[in-house]
Parts: sequence; C-alpha cells; structure tokens
Amino acid sequence: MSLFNNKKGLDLMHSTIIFIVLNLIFFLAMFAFVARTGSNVALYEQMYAKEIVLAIDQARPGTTISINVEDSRGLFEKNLVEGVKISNGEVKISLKKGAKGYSVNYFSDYTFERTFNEVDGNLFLKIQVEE
Amino acid sequence: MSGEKVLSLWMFLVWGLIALAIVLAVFIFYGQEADIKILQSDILIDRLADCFIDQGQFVDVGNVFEDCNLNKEIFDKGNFYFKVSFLEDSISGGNKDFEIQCGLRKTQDEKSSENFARCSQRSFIALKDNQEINVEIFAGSNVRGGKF
Repeated sequence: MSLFNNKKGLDLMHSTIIFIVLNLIFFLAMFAFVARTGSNVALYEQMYAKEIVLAIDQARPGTTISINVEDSRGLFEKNLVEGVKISNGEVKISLKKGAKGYSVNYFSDYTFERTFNEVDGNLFLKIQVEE
Repeated sequence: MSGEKVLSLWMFLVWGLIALAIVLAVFIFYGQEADIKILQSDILIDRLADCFIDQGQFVDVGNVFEDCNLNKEIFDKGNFYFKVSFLEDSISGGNKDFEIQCGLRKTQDEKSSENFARCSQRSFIALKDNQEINVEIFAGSNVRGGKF
C-alpha cells in the first residue's frame, strides 16, 4: 500500500496503466485490421469465382455442384442469384451493390443453372450442369 | 523504468514500425492472386482424354469443340490452348503462342514469367484399329481473372 502513499509510486502506476491500455488498443486495432482485411468482399468474390470455374470445367451433364457460402452470407448485399452469373464462358461474382465484381473465364460449353438453398442453417450455392 | 521512458517518442515510433510491417505483410499476402492456370490446364487434359479415348478405344473426333463440349469463343479469345497428337496427326485449338510461353517458362525465373501461360502435358495409350497408339495431350491456360 506504500505505493499509493508515495507520489512517485502513484505516477509510476498511472504511466504503467496508460502504457498497458495503449498497448491493448494498439494490438486490438492491429488484430481488427488483419481480421477485416482477411474477410473482405473482394477476397470472397475472387475465391468463389475461381472455385466455381474449376468445379464447372470438370463437371459432366447431370452433375450438381454444391458450394457452402455461409461464411460470406453477411457480405451479400445483392440478391443472391443476381450476384452470381455463369454464362458465355465467364463466371461473374458481385456481392456488393454498385461495386465491381470479379470475373474468370471457363472453357466448358455446357449450360449451368444456379440456385441457392439453405440446409441446416448453412447457405449453399447449387449449380446444375446441363447438356 | 520510469513513466517518461515508457511513454516516450520511441515507443510510438516502434508501434508505428510494427503497424507498418503488419499492414505491408497483410496487403502483400491478400494482394496475391490465386493462380488456377495449371489446374485448368490439367482439367482440360482430362476433358480431352475423356473425349478422345472411350474405354481404351481411340475415338476419331470430328469437331473437337462440339464433340468435347468446349467453348470455341473462349478459346478464340486466347486464354486457352490444346494440342492432341496421335500417330502422324495432331488437332489443336486456341492460342498457339502458349507452346512458346511454356517453353520459355522453363528457362526463366518465376518473376519474369508470371504473365506467361502454364501448361500441362500427358500421354495416354489407346487402341486404334486393334493397334496400340500413343496419344499426347498438351494443354495450356492463361486465365487470370479480374475486376469487371
């Protein structure tokens, strides 16, 4: 308790508390920055576009491709079906309204029908491959 | 350790440096594009092999794009290439330059050849008129993707 009676000790305690608080704020801010950058829309758009392209290029007619998009459900600002376009050799993913999306070419010449459905609380993008 | 020393200008400078390093590392890491060229060229080989070889028998394919369900328009745009060689014959489509690009890739470092296509090549044995023939399939992709 002598620390609280001593002015020098009190100053030391104050500066230590400020130091710890500032450190906490700094590292929390850094953590938030890394977490936010790692879950941004552009990253998901690129990831889904390339995942879909690889899946549909090797799919045969009659195949149903199912992709779990639950992780990015909160990022979808557009109507889900509107945000994913698969036609004319190009997969276009655009999750945000008014923002540009990401597109990748595929070489398969089949027709692809996409739908969204929810299974056990998880959102799935389903792509049906047709002749 | 006095308070003045702890909350000195140096401390903020060190924080600044740490923040700068983290921001740079994050942007470099997430700024990298996932390269799917080699995966697509492997898939293209599988598609062509399935089309040209049916249960071990070589299939004479008339129109590769129609018979193998490949989008000719996309091949004409220059993002893909294939060449199927058998006996003295060969069938190819797409951007022929990929053969050169993939050859150059072997002699150059990764950085200077990052815009070049990536190619795969595989050979298969098939029966044609009860004779075993070698079917060589070469495929390349230079799909990068991007904002639209």
